[in-house]
Amino acid sequence: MKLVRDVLDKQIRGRDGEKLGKVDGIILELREGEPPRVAYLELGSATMARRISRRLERWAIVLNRKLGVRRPRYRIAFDRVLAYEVDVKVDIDTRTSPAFAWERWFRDHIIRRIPPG
Amino acid sequence: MTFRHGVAAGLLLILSACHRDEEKDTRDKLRSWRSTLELVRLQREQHNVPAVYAKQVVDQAIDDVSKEFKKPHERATREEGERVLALAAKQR
Amino acid sequence: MKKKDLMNLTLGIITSIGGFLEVGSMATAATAGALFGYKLLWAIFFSTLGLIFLIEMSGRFAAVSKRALADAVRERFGFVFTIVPRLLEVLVNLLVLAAEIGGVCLAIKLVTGWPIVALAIPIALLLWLVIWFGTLSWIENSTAILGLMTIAFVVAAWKLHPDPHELLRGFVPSRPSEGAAKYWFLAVSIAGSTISPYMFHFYSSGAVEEKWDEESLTSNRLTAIGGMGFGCLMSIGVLIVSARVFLPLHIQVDSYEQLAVVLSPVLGRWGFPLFAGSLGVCCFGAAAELALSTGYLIAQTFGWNWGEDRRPLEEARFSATYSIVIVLAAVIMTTGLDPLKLTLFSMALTAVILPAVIVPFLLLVNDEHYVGKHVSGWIGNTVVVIVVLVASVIALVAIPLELAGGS
Repeated sequence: MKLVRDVLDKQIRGRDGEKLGKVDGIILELREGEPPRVAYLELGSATMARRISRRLERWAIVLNRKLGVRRPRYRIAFDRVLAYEVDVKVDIDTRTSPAFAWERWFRDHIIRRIPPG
Repeated sequence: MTFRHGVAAGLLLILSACHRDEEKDTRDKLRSWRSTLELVRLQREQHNVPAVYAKQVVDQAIDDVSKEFKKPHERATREEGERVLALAAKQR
Repeated sequence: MKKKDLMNLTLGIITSIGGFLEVGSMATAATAGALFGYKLLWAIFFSTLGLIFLIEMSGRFAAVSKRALADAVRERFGFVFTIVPRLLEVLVNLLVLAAEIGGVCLAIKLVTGWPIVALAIPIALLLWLVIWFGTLSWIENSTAILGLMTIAFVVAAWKLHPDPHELLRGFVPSRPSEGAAKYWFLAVSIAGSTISPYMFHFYSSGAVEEKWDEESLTSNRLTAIGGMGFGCLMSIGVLIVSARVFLPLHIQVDSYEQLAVVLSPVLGRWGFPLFAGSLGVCCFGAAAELALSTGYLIAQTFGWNWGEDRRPLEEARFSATYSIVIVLAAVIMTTGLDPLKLTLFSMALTAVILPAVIVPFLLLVNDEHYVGKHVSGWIGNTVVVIVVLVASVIALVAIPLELAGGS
C-alpha cells in the first residue's frame, strides 16, 4: 500500500455505503525500534486547513467551536478500514458517526424545512 | 528638454489615435443602430415581429445612443446621432 | 448493438445536440458573424474538436475508473493543489450561471417586455424547483428535446445559400484587416463558450450516477462525436445567419435586442418566436447543468453525498450548495448587469482558467492506475493540449486589450 496514492484524499464510505468525507490526514504512530504504524485516518475542516497553513487551521478550530456542530477533527482507527481499492471503506455506521454531523445539521435545519425535502 | 518633448509628442500621438478610434467606434455604433431600426421597422410592417419587441429595440437604441453623447464628439458624428434618435422617436 | 443501447445512444446524441447551444455560444457566434463574416468559423471548429476529445475522455474516465473527475483530481493531486483551481472554477461557473439565468429572463422579456431585473428571482426559483424535484434524465431529456428547435438556425443558414468557397476559407485562421483585438477576443470567447469545464464535470458525474462501465465506451465515443459534432452545426448556423443578415447592414450585435431579429428576414413569422424559444430553453438547460455541475464540483472535492437522482434529504450539503449557487447567480442578475457583456466576459475568463482544469484532467486520463489499458491516444492528447494552450495564451493577451478598448 502506498499511503499517499492509495489512502490520502480518497473518498471514505461507511459500511452502509454512504460518503463520510475524504481522508484529509493520516496519523502515524512512531514506535521505538519498530517501523511507524498507521494509527488513524483523520478528517475534518481543521485537518484540511492545516495542509494549507497553521493560521487557517486555527480559524477552522475557532469556527467549529463557535458553531458547535461538530469537532474540527475526527479520527477513524486504521484497523476499521475494510477496503481501499476505489474508495476507502470503513467499518462505521455513517448516520450516527460524529463525522457526519454537518450533513445531519444541514438535513435537519435546512432541507427538512423545505417541502418535500 | 529633448526627452520631455519626445514624451509629450508620444502622448499626443497616443491620445489622438485613441480619439480617432473612439470616433470611429461611435460612428459604427450609430450606423448599426440606424440599420437595426430600419430592419425591425420592415419586419414589423410584415408582421414578423411583435410591437412589444419593436418597442424594446427603439428604447435600447435611444438608451445606447444617448449614452454615447455624454462624451465629446465631432460635429458630423453628433449630427448623425441626432438623426438616429429622431428615427427612433418616429418609431416609438 | 442491442436495441436498448441504440435508444440510449440516440437519446445521448439528441441530448448533446439540444444542449450544445446556450447564451454564450449564441452571443459569441452571432457577434463573430456580424463583425467578421465567416472568418471565425475556424474558432468554432477547433474548439468543438477539443470538446469532442474532452467529453469522450471524461466519459471514458468515469466508466473505467468509477470516479467522477473532481473526485479523482483531489484524490490524485491532493487538497492543496486542488483548492485554487476549484475556487476559480466555482467563480467562473457562478458568472456563467448568472448569464444563463439572464438569457432565460431575456427570452421572456423579448416576448412580454417585462424587465430582466424583475424576472431573475422567479426564473431562479423555477430553476431550483426543477432541480429539486426532477431527476437527471428528466432534466437532460426535456430541455434537450425542446432545444432541438435550434435546428431553425441551420435551416435558416441553408436557406440563405452561403457561398461554399467563402465558407471553406472561414475554416482557416486568418488575420483581420481591422479590429484585431476584437477578433482575437471573440476567438477566445468562442473557445470559452464551447470548451466549458462545467460540461465535462457534468458529463463525468452523470456517467458515474448512471453506473457506466467498459461496455459503455462505444456509445460514449459515438455520443461525444455525434452529439458535439451535430451540436457544433447549430453554432455554425448562428454565425452564418448573422453574417448574411447583419454584416451587409453593418449591424453590430451590441445587445440581445439587436440579435433577436436575426431569423425574421429568413423564416418570416416563425423567426422571432423560434429565436426567443431557442434562447429560453437552451439557457434554462445550461443553467440546470451549471448549478448541478457546481454542486458536483464542491461535493466531490469534500467527499459529500451527491447525485441528482437522490432525494435532497439524502444529500443535504450537495442540495444546499446548488441552492446557494442559484441564489447568488440570481442576485448578480438583479444588479442590472448587461447580460451580453457578462456573457462575453465570462466566456473569455473560462478560456483563461482552462489550463488549470485541463492539465490535471489530461494526466488522469493517461494514468493507468485509473484507466488501465484505456489510456488516451496521442492524437487526442495533442489536440487537447494545442487547443487549450492556444486559447489561454490568446485570452491572456486579448482580454486586457478588449478591456482597454483597443481595436
